[in-house]
Amino acid sequence: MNLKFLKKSDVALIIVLLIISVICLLPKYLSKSDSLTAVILKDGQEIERIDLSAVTEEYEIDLECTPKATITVGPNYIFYSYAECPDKLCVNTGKLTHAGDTAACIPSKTLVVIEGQKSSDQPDVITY
Amino acid sequence: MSGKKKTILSIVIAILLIAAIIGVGLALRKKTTLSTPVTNSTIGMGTVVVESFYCSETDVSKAAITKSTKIINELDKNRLSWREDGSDVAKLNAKGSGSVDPITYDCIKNCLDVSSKCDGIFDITVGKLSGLWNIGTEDARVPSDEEIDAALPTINYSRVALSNNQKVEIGADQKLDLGAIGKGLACDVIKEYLVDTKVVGGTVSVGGSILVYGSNPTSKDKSWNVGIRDPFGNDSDYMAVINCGPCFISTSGDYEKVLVENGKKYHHILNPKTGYPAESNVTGITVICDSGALSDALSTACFILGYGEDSLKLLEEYNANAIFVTKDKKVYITDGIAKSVTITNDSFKVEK
Repeated sequence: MNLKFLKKSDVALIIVLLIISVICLLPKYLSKSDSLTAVILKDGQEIERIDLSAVTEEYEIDLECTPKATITVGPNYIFYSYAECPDKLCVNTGKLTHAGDTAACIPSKTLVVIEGQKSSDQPDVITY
Repeated sequence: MSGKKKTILSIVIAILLIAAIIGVGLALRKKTTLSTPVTNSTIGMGTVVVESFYCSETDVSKAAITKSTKIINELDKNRLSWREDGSDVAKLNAKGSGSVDPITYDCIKNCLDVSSKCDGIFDITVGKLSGLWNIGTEDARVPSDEEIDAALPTINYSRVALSNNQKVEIGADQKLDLGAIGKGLACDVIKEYLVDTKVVGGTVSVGGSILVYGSNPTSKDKSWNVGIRDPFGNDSDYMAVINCGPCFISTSGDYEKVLVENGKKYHHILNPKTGYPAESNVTGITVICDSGALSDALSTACFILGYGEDSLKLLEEYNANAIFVTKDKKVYITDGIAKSVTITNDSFKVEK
């Protein structure tokens, strides 16, 4: 295409518009990063917030609660690894790995949830 | 510059402008709260509660979460829990009769109606029996046969009498337990509250009993997808997805609250006729209907009955639909929702 007919200001305008478009679209793609944040709550109060995607080595957190419970944190996962209660529902829940995954120890009133937006192919909610 | 070239230039600029506007639009859409729900997880009614609401005003969603949590806790404490001394149910169990809150009254009335239609296979007068087992609590244990034999004659819904002024009377030896429908009833009360708010849509899960409310702003046809937990998998695994509009969904399964004693597993859904955890051909059953308490009651009844004529007839009475999952991984779906259910785990086979 012969660009002679374009004035300098036209080219500038086109470039500016292009840049605006790209800048506006950037957040949409950036926000798709795989960051996973786990939140530990006790009695409804947040006691710990962990960026699971930044965890490189597995470690344990002993929760200050009765009955006692321990949470294991690792790269992109978190789970109740030990609980003193008899039913062990929280331990049996297994590893939490996706946004929206939740595990709770009802007797100790503690709860772990992975925050963030669910991917669109996940159901809105699960009945059990 | 010729007219033709000018036209081309205008078109190019117009296209770029449109692209820019779309770009801005997409970026902004990402930020509006209508595409991202406000979500909260907490513990209530002795189980996990997850509330998720869509509204263009974040404050409205946050207020809805606070209020919903309060509804659940107050319903448990003041109305339903037999463990809370001040609740309607605890007072009835202690005194044998009394006037209760309209919510409690209507709920008991509806439960008795279900009982009458399934010959008492669902029965809220199981309090004595469930108190022996206590499954789902720290005091869970397997009662002796003598204890169970003593509790069985106290279970009889037809001895509960309702009269004017929300008065309820139970037999002197009877104890009520509304635990089977409490979570669904909480969903009912939350829905009543939500209709007066600006919340566009959302879901509430009270221990797996689900309220699907309003329209889903993130889906083209405004519908919702509700996963059905895989009875053989982990807590977050699902084996099917129901595509639905506003409704109430409840599941009863033998994998949920379990007591293990001497290597034997005992689940929490007791058969009021035998006094022991119900044994039928199903491992999980999900009911969809227009009331939360009803979906809870029907899923419990149908779990005990198993898949068959009796359970299908009961569901029909209430215009409810269901998905039965049997112990050998067969799936039976009632006609009303057959087209809305997608099996997502190939090891399950739909039977016609």
